[in-house]
Parts: sequence; C-alpha cells; structure tokens
Amino acid sequence: MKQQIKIVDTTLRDGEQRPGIVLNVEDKLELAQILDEIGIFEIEAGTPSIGTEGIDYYLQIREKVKKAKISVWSRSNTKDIKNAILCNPDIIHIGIPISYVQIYSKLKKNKVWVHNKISECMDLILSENIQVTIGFEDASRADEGFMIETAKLIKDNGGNILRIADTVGVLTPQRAYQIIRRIKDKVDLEIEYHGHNDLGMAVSNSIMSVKAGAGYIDCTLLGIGERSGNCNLKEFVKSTSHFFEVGIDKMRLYYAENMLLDIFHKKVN
Amino acid sequence: MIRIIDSTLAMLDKYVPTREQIQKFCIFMKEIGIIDLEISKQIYKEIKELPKGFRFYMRKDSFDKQIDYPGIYKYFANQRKNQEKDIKESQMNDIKEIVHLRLQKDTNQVRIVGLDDIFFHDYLYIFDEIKKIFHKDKIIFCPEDTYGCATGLAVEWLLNGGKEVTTTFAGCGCRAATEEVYIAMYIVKRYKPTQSLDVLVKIKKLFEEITNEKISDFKPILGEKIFQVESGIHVDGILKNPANYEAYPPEKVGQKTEIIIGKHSGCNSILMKCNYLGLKKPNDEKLNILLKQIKLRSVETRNSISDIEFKKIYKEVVENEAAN
Repeated sequence: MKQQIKIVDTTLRDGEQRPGIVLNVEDKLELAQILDEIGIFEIEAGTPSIGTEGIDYYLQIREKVKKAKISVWSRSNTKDIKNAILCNPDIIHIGIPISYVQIYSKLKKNKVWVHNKISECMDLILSENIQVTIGFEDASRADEGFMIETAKLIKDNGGNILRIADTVGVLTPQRAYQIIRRIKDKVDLEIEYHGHNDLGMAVSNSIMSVKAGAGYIDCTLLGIGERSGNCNLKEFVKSTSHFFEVGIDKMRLYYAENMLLDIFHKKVN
Repeated sequence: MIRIIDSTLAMLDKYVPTREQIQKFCIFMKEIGIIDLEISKQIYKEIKELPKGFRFYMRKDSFDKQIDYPGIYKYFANQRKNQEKDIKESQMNDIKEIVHLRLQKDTNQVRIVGLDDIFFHDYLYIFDEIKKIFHKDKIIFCPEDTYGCATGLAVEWLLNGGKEVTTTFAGCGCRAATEEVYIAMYIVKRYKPTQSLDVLVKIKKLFEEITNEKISDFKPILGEKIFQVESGIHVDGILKNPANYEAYPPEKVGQKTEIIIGKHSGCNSILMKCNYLGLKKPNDEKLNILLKQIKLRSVETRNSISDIEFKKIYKEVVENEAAN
C-alpha cells in the first residue's frame, strides 16, 4: 500500500510572496476553488495581518471551499493572531524563527523568548478552539537540540503538527531526512515539510522528508515563491505518484496551473 | 577531491553552436574551475583545435572505426571492448540492474547513467553496493532528472564518498545542473570557497544565445530575479543581515539583492526606498498612508511599483498633503 501524503498548498500565501506576483481577492477565490477540487488537503489562504485582502476574503473562502482545510499564516504576536482569529480559519499557522541567526540577528531576541512566544500564541489560539500549527523557520540552519526541546514544548502545549521550513533552501536530501527523523524519534508530532528550491532540490528534499515520516508536504502551483520558489506541486505529484498516495487529480492540476498563468497575463506594465 | 565533469557540450548538437561560442564556453567553464568537459563528436569537428588546459571526454559507439581522436582524454563507451582510455558507460533504468555491474568490475572506470528514482529506495545502500563492486575513485555518477531529483542525487553521491559526477549547465539534457551541484557543495562542504562564480552570468547569456531559449528568471542560481525581495518580513531581515535570508552572497554568482516595492512591502522597505530615491522620510502617519496606497496600486495593476510610480504616489501622499 502506498504511503499517504497530505498536500498543503501555499500558492495564495508564500507563492504570492514572489516579487512581482500580485493576486487580488477574485483571483484568490477562484484559485482556492480549483485547489479544493484537485484534492488539496489544506489551503494556506494568506496572512491576515498584512491587511490587503480584508477579513471578508477569508470568510468568503470558507464558503467557497468545500473539502480542503483553510489555514492562515501569522507572526507570533498577539495583535496579528487576533486578526487571524477573526478570519475564522480551520488552522492558524504561527511561523517562528528557530535558527540562532534568525533569533539573535533578525529578531534580536533569545531562546527563552521563542519558547514564551510559542506558549502564549498556542494558548490564545487553542482557547478559541482553532487548530494551531507551529512552523520552525530556518530549521535547516538550526540547532537540532533546540528544535527537539521546542518541539516537546509544542507537544506539551497541545500541538499536533510541526512545520519544518527550509526557509533559505539550503537543505540536502539526507539532511532533510535526518532533521525530520531525529525530531520524530524524540517527539510524537506530525511533521509538515516546507521546502524552497534555491539549490534545485525542493522535490528531492520533499521526497526524503516523506521517507523520514513527514505526512504533509507544502507546495505551490508552478513552484512560485520567494527567490527560486517553493516545491512545485506538479513536479512533486508527477515524481511521486507511483510511490506515494497524494490524492491529487493530475488533469485538473494542469487546469489550475493554466488558470494561474492567465492571471499573470492580466498584469499591467 | 571531487570532480565535476560538465557535459553541456555533448548536449548542444541540435543548436549547432559556432566555434567561437564553443571556445568561449570552455574558457568560461575554466574560470569557474571546471576543466573536465564532455563534448560530442559534432562539437569536436566544429572546434577543430581543442583548447589547452582541459580534459576532454567524448562518447564513442561500438561501430566507431576511429580508435583515437587527438586531444581527447577519455571516451565513454558502452559496447566497446575495454580500451585503455575507455570509461565503460552503463545505463541503469532500475535498481535491479545494479547486479549487472558486477560483470564489469574489471573495467578501468565506469560511468553509471540513470538511477533517477533511487530516492524512493534505500539510496545509501545502493551507493554502497556500487562502491563494493568498483572502487569509489573509479565511478562517475550521472543521474538523470526524470523525477526532478538529479541535482539531489549528484550532491548525495558526492557527500557520501563519491568522487565524480557528470552534470550539465542549467541541467540541460535531463541531467543534474552543474551550477546547482557546485553551489550546494560550496555551501555544505566549502567546495572551492574562494572561487568566484560571477562568470556564471556570462555563461548563462552564452547558453541563451546558443539555444535561443531564455533561462527562467527564477532558475536556481542563474535566474535574474532570484535575489529580488519584496515581502516586509524578508526585506527587514535582509536589511539587518543578508545572511538571514540569503544562503550565499548574490555577488558570489554575479548578482545582487534588489528590493522590490509592492503588495507585500512593509514600512522598512518604504523608508529604504525613500532614502534610495532621495525623498524626505515621511512621518509615521504619512508612512502608513503611503504604504496603504502602494499596496492598493499594486493590487490594481497586479504588479510591483516602479520608482517612477513610487515617486508619484509619494508626491500625492506626502508632498501634496504637506502643501495643504
């Protein structure tokens, strides 16, 4: 029996962060519908705190999408999370830096601050009966011991799913496998893998993550995303469908890609 | 010591590159430290005199009557009797075929082509099995890209004791991409850490000229737009320390960071742009209005905001208001 994988599509959030790509509310609603139809398990609909779509968009997407779960992305601050809660999603995803370079150099904070923030955010979201997932940003350059310690804290706080993000796209396949395997060996959490294609290895790393026990893989249509993009949904499905059960309608996937290309053509120069 | 054999010049026959283009390609490759190049027979004929300072490889068929081609260092041959300069080439379409390699264990050197799906199996065990048959120094691994894994496989081979891989520029011909393997090894193993790779930009232009096809703006390492950054969180991080979001300096590969203004911009990007364009820093209230207007304009046009547009919006929001 093939191993089952759930696809998390982040075209509407991380994909749109590719400079020069702009999707309006109508585009996003249309894309969400087709993503739902092709069998995406979870649609990451956006980042409410940036305020470009408005809460109505998130409420509308809930109405349009019949099967897929709707998640929203949030930074680890209370104001942003309250905004996210108003959007009534199935899942709120909190992205939090986990590498020392990002904690100390970008945020100018420390490890205790990271742990306190995670607990605070999870309490707030879970008290609203909304599922929460935590994402380790820049996990590829992070200390494994600190990741495991933090993963245990997430589990203790009632979390079930942990996202491992190769934020700068530097993982190699074996390293992706090791990070996920070591976390899974120590903490009973489901793992979601979020890869970037900076070294042309997003598909390879996603495959190895599944082999290490990841049950969720993040992808985008046409592989759009920051820099060289995210794991390309079509390429991942094409590569893995003989080996893994991804539950994606390949024919409709081509249609979804064409729909996105049509949107790009509407750009005003 | 690892060796990357670049096979791009064995893949370009249909584009008929000129002698000058071939020579230029060789020189550029040498500038990034790659002197092992596989060429096709057509390229060999076109170039007439092979440039010095390289090791050239060429594929030979069993019906090839000519035994030796002057200047060629080694030959990839699949059916021929094992000659001194021959590297036996074995196409492996399935892991079960690895047992056949045992029949070739007495060959000087072997190039294994294919094995494109081994990430779905125990690939480290497969690597070990191959290394049991041949000494690791005698194996050149040439993974194919049917499953989008060729670069990953080439890198894993090198990280697990393998010494040689065959790749192509931009991964043409369904191979691992030379530049991706190179940078991955630079990041993971400090491979040639002081080697400047800014000539990659020139190789890319030459490759586009030869093939008459544009390389994607987002192609890893080579894409013109891969160092553009727009999202507020990322711009903020890069302004604090580029290493926050850049795995290697863009200058290493002849590129530079470019901050784009648009729907996903944050206040820091706007301030940075004002400074860059010599515009007076707006107060907090004006800054928020300016940011909002920029996002609205970006959504309207489904595009990022050019400097001209930025100045126009700035004038409307900041200067006109100030005049009032």
